[in-house]
Amino acid sequence: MKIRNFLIRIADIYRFVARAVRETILPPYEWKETLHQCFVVGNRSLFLIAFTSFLAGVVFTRQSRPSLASFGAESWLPSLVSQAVIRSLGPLITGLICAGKLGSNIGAELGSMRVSEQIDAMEVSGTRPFSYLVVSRVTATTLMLPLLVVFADAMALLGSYLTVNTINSTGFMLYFNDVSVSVTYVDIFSSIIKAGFFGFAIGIVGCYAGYHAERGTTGVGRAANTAVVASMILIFIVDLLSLQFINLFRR
Amino acid sequence: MKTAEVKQDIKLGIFVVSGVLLFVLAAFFIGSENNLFSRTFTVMAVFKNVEGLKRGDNVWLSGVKIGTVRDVTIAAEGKVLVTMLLKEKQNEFIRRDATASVGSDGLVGNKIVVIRPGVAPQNIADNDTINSLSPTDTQDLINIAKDVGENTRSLTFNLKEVARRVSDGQGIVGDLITDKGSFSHDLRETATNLRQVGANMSKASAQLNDLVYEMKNGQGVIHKLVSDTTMAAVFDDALANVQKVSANSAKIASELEEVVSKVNNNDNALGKLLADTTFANRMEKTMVNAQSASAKLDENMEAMQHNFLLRGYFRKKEKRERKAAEAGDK
Repeated sequence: MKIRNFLIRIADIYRFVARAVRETILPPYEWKETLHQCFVVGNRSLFLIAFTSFLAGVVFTRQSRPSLASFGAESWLPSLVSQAVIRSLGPLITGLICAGKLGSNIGAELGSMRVSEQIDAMEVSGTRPFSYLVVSRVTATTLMLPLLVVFADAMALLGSYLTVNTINSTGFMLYFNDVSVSVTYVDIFSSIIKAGFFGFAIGIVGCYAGYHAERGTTGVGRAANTAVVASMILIFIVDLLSLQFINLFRR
Repeated sequence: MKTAEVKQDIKLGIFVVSGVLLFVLAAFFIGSENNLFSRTFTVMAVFKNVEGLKRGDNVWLSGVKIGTVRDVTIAAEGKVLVTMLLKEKQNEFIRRDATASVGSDGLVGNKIVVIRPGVAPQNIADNDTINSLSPTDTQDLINIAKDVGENTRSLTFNLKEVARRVSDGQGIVGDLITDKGSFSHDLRETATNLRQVGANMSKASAQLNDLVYEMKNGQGVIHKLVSDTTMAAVFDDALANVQKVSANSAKIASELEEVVSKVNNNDNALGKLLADTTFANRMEKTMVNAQSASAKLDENMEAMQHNFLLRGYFRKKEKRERKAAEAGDK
């Protein structure tokens, strides 16, 4: 019985994802709502992302420094931090913060709409709630996450630079020259593309949880909770898979 | 409502544009490190072994990064073709006979290609192949080290044998070191003699020195010989005289020869005296006769002394002589 339910749930998820993709590609497009969602996802998350990445950069630099200094390789700090930040730390921080902030937001929003039967009302009035609610959100998270990752990387490196500058008085030019020597195109493009998948995962999980929220007051809370937890797990799984995939391109 | 939406859109636009700009900037910086946007030229080198050199490793000229390794491919057995992408600006510093070698930018650092510029008059051009110095294979080094170790072992074994023999006092070296055999004794004696010889030598050389000084500066004949120019004229005269004397001698000798030849011919008195035997015999007989004649005369004289006529004279003479002798005794 459990297996049967599980398989039905899988089929349902598949149908939901397929529909989201199909409606994203095919017209009509909900431009206005999509732009609004982009604003919500991008601009409203920017400060949070920038602040946490900056702190992560500072902390990571200060944590790595002693082990590098123990064999006299402090000069490798920029290259170590930049590779760590751009390959993994930046996308991961952005993904997890967004999963917490946006996942819960989307899940709760759609869940309450489902619970208060607004979605049903939209379906009756013929405003195509799926395209309006789900596609716009998924598109917004998929497009905005990569941009947020760019900001996150920049802020993390800035934090790292300020730390290194305070401790070792390394110059700005030297630091960012080291960074650009050690970072490759594979690193930044893979990081950006990965962030797109993270965004898609956050959006689709949040929407699915909200769209399928159970009736009753607990349904909204559970939908928000499911959205956050599932999207975080998905982010780690996507990170692992992308690592395997990107390693094919590394020399 | 409308203005709020426009504001949102503007903010979103700023967000997107700045994000994209940041990304493009990063891409540009990384690209410029990998020579993606500057003018470049390609140089190739063939190595036997590149020791793990890979795409993207740096190329150094005099310690300055001038490009990156674009490709590493195996061209044939024991031949690795390394294609390097160098900045266009640097080609004036690299000559046709430049050499490339694989090095390392630190103890645990990445592999790098080190280019030595060369001295040929022509600069390097696009797609040129330059000479290469392959790094010594680690396995080769180990083999060499093994050989060295084996040699060292046999060497130390021989040294041990030599040391043993020396400490036992065998051979000349052992004799010398233990100071027991005859050789060291001889050597010591030789050294003593040598020292004496040295002392003598120094004395001799001092004297020689004095002599030379005397010859140069003193009053002796040699000094005159050496330094007096007037002596040369005198010598010339002397030599002329000697010449004259020898000429006279020759003349005298020829005359003497003539005399001797004349003497040898016995048609003159001297010749007869020397060469005629009958004359000699007669001469001998005459001498014999003269002898007997004088003996007879002696006898006659004795007889005369006893003659009364002359006896008085002899007696007086005898007395005078006796008196003279007595006076002499007194």
